Amino acid sequence: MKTICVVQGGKFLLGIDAARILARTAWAELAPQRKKDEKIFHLAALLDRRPGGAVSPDAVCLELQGNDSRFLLVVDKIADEAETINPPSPLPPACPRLTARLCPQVTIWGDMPVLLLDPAQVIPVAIELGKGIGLLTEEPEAEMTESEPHEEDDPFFPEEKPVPVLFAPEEDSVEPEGPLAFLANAEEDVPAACSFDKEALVAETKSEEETEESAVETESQCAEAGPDNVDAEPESSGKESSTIDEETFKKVMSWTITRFKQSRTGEELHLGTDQLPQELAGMVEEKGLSRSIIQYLIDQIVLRCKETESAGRRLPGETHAH
Amino acid sequence: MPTEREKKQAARKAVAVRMAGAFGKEPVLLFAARQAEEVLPQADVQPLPFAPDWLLGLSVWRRQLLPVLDAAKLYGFDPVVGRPLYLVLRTVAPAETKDGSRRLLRCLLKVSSQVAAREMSAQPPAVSAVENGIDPNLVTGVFAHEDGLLIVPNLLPALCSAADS
Repeated sequence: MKTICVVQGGKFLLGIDAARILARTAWAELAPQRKKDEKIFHLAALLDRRPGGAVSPDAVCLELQGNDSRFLLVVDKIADEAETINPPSPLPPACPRLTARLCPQVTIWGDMPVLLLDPAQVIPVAIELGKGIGLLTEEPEAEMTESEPHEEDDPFFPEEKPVPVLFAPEEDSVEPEGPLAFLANAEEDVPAACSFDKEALVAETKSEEETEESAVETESQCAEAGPDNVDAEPESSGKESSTIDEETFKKVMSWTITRFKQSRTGEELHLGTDQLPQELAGMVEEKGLSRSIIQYLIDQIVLRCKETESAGRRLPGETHAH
Repeated sequence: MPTEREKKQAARKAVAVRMAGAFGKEPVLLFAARQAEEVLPQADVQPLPFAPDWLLGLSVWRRQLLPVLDAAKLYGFDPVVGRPLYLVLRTVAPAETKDGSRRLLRCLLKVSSQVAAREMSAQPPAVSAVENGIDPNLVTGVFAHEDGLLIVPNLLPALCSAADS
């Protein structure tokens, strides 16, 4: 009997021969230490045929032995570790070719079919799919679901830097506005200078080194894919605006703050662009705004709200207690 | 090979599944009674990566792993409204080996809840699958009937070859 590690990647359940797993690390631990040139595969994204996106804070990173080298595979969670009672069998002939290549065998776990992943096929399949599919990029949104993003050693949130831009700083302003300002002004006026671009945001959240080559490659490949590539992320089309107009900014901020207020019962808040009210989502769509920028904006507002909350609800304009 | 008499007998005892479609007439899938092994009120389906939308995934039935197909998506009918049923169907693949042995293939077919046993008293007139917007590879016959468009499915192409989306 073989011991398999049953893992979840998105909506898919896969088994991995436990003997092929060299190491397991919580993603929350690994993410801050991640090397720039490190290629990490994201199981959910690979199986969904999309570039790696947001990683769940509970995700686990498995080090697996491929054909020639070791590689890292991020899975949403480890569901179980069990001995296979039923001998593995080949997939039914109706199964897609790529599925049969990545998971040539299947077994029954409880009453559920579990595809058995062949780790040696992860990289070849990702290469065949191309366009950066399954590869975890270093886009900021990939890291934003970290539960404690303000740890001192977090490279994405260096302590000395001001909190990433929600407003272009005015000449006489020293401190960025605190989240309570947003709370207070949610239904009121929004400062006029509120445009920012993707580059500025990325620059805020990344170290000052150049963007990782593979991440750039992924993005450009997706852009090349154009509208014909139905699996590509919408922001990859290259037709979206990276600047948020005042009206959208105000509405996104109001909505985020409202949701933050509603959720303050101790649970972890996860807000995504897919939860935007229909009217607002339509506006974003209509204006061709990048969803990653909107997501970043939402994340930053939530972050600031949390920050204020944990610091004892400072008044607007007060400085951070670092 | 079944004799003409056996074929007629099988056709007379059928399982009919009424679907909803845009063919002008309501499509009714017809299966020989011996082909439909069980009707399940629900199925635990594990999705398959890289699969087309009509291949819902795999399910375990009596310790056997079966592919689960969505009849509405496979044939281009309207989506099933309400609680679906799952037919356990079996079909025989033609001989591929030298000894002439044939393969028995099973699958779960997600269908509407309107499943009924049916006696076919007369052979209705055949009509063109293509003209009725149906993939001719996926049917062994299409017939016009006052109840709707009677379709005798051929699931072998879906079950025997890799379903790449």
